[in-house]
Amino acid sequence: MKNAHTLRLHDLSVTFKGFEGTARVVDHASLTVNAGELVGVVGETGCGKSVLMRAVLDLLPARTTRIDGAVEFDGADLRRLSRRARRAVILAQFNMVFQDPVGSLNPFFTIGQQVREVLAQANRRLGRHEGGAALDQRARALLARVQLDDPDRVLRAYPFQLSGGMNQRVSIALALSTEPWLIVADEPTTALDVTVQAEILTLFSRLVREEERSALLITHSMGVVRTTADRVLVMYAGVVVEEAPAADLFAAPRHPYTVGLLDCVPRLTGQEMAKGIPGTLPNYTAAPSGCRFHPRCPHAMPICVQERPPDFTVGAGHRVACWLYDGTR
Amino acid sequence: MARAEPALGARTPSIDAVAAPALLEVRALRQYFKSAGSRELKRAVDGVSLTLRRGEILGVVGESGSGKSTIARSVVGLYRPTSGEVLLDGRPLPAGSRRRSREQKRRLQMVFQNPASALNPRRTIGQALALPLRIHRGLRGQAARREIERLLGLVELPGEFAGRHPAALSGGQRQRVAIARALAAGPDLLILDEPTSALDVSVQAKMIDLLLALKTQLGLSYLFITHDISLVRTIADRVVVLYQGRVREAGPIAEVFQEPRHPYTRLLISAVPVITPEEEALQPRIPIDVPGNGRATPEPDVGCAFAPRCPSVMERCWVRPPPLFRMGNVETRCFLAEETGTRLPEEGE
Amino acid sequence: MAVSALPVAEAEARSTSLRADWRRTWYRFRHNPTAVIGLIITVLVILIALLAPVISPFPASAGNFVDFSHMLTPPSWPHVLGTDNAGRDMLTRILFGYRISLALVVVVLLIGVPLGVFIGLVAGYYGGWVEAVLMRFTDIFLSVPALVMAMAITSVLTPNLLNAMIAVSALWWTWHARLVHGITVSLKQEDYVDAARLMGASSLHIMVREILPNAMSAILVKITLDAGFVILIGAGLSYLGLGVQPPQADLGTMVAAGTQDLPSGWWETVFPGLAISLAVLGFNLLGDGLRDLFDVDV
Repeated sequence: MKNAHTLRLHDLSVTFKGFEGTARVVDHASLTVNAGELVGVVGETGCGKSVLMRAVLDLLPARTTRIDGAVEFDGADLRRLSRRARRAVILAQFNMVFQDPVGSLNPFFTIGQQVREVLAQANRRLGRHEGGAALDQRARALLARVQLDDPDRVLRAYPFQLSGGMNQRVSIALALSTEPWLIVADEPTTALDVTVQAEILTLFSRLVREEERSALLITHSMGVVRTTADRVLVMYAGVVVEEAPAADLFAAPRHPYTVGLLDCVPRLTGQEMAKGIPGTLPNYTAAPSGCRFHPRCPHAMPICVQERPPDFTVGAGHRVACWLYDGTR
Repeated sequence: MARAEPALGARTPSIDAVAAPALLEVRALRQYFKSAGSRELKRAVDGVSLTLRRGEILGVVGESGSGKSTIARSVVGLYRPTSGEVLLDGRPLPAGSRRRSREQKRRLQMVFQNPASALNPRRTIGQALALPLRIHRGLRGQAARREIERLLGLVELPGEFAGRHPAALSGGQRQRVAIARALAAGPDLLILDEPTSALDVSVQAKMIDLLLALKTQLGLSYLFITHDISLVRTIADRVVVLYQGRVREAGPIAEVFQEPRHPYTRLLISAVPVITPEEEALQPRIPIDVPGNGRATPEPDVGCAFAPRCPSVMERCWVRPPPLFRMGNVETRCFLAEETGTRLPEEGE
Repeated sequence: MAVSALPVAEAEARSTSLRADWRRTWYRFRHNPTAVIGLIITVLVILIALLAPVISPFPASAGNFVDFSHMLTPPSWPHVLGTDNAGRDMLTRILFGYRISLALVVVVLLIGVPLGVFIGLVAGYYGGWVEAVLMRFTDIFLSVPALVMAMAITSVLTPNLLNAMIAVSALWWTWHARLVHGITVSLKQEDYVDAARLMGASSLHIMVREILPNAMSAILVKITLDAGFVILIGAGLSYLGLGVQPPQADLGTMVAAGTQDLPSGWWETVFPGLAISLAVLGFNLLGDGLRDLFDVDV
């Protein structure tokens, strides 16, 4: 395999300090992305999935944030490197696709100007030099890769002249332009129509697999991870509550939160949805003791209040952070 | 007329979809906008007719550019239609909300999509609720305060929220306040424009449960606008599918989903990322990544706007705009139905 | 993209109390050094203006007082900032000078702001020909520089403090009219305005109770920034002899009068000048701080 790297988050915690106090918004999260894998991280607003991703990409403000735990790339902990060394690795190996295509592309420049600039910057970092014509050639090739017909027209256009779907294809092209090993996509299709979403997701997963890259797909949509990811992590209140191969997670969800969440998703069969999950998200400055989900869990036991559950294995590659699955009880 | 069997496990439609009287009727609504700068007219809504019967939930589904939000605003009077009319209980409503009577305004209320902008950030919840109470029910002071508390209870919020500002509330809570505000006037019909799009799935589930309970409790009818296909399948009695300002398919929800006639409806249903194999079995098999056939989209009066993306496109779709055909309880605007369906006359013909 | 506040859980978890909202705002204000400095200076200036008769060492110096035995004494005890060429204590005159400057600010803003806000609201809300007429009218006044207009008015009327105030007020409303007009036009499209309209709220209600409260933060920021400008214009008018007349102590007049004794009697000009700068600086810093706090585009 071309890019045989590994990313491993080990016991990662992110704590914010602010007016209301200190809040641990990611709590001892572990995550592994192997070569050629598309890993989905799913959860509702405030579950910490975006913060987790930002911690990996070193995008959190240093002054008010504390990050504990390890972010290991090929075994080397990025958190231990100097800021500069860390950024070098991140710039070389990772890239990102954002949610809002209109927001992440500069409205004042044409697509062509932005693509050329990204390519030129990458060249500078690598000590390469390419002339204008060569850059144009590469820009056109990049756009072709994301299936944008008439690349010349797109290169000449401004973001507002293109549809959301086209802009998102450009964003994907830009992310691919640095030839990253890992692409992090944060809600890449949330702002798009459902028919466009399907196209973009198909394109994204195809490109990732064909080019033997890896991807981290962050979303709130269960349907999206089911159709796109190889492996899925479910997060609640900063904790990874369940992880499984995509098919297994949906066929046999174990964690009460996962089950509750799936029951809330409207179905094409038209059957009635669950009436929500009782309770509310916790206040991170005064998080519940033990398992963070226990105040809302229909199966809560005394131990859930006292002790935070470790990960229990319930199947091949399937782990749950829930006392219900403690084999010894 | 036989009623279709609802799909397994689906919610039973609340009323006999055919026999109940029409509460709201939209006839040949056209809403054209002049876009700033260019001389071109943007045809946001291009001849839409629909009927909402008393006690039912009519789902209006479409993607961006379909005109669904514009329809909501035109019906409620925030836009003055370019042509066409809106009738309430068979009587035409004046075009703009300014010209409508207080009674007409009371009967038709709207819940907006974005909970963040639907409430004035500088007014408390109590002040926001007091306005319709004062105007439509003449309540002030102590009586108003009691009613505000009752309304908040109706949407399952604590009474003390009356003194808070919207910024102190979560999105789900703000949306409940918006619903309470819409209900304060005592309406018959609520127009809900993507009321849960900005909410998480579990919060949405709670909200939908609330909306359904309120509907039964207060005898309301809903015009429910959304882009979420699965959601509309779950709660609507009848559905209207919009594409680029025109109705492409309409009918009882179970029938439309069991056998979608219009290729766009089929595309929509097949594009939904579902979570169970049972749902997958219901989805038409259409390759998503169909490369556009490259031809330019026909003008609305020349051909079918969906032609460039249609897997079943025929030559005549490019040169004649398809009329509406009826097949059983379902209407569809597609030449594929020409053989088996009955052509329906439309306004202006 | 940087996350600078605690992530807010969008689910049902965020009901903080009203008092916590205020405390949060104060917390942010406290951590903005320019705002705090500006606030301190502004409060100081206001206190000085209010308490001038009480705290000034030589109250008589404020009026028609002459003491040739002490004229033009350099800064020393007991005249900490020296005396002018009529023997009047500089410190006292500066303290009283603040009174006049602030009186000018209060009157001008009291007249100009409500008038401007009203015109801006009406023009922005109704649009059409109402807007066209009102805003063109505003544009005409805006095209004349404030100082020039004030000079024109006060040279026709008798130059005194009252007329100076009238002259400046006659122009000040234009800025607020334009500001509020712009805000109204954009806020008019907000969903909550539509909702109020659907409820059947009157135009008056919408303008005053829905739109205006949302414009208040911008207006407030503008007022604090205006204060500095008004002081400068008032001082400018007095410097040119068109505003406050001697023996009333206005900072601008003092600067003008002091120039004839430069450079030996430098304290006659420099201290009043510094006093003007201090007040203007204070208001500006406060305005900047408020603008950062409210995140307003003024």
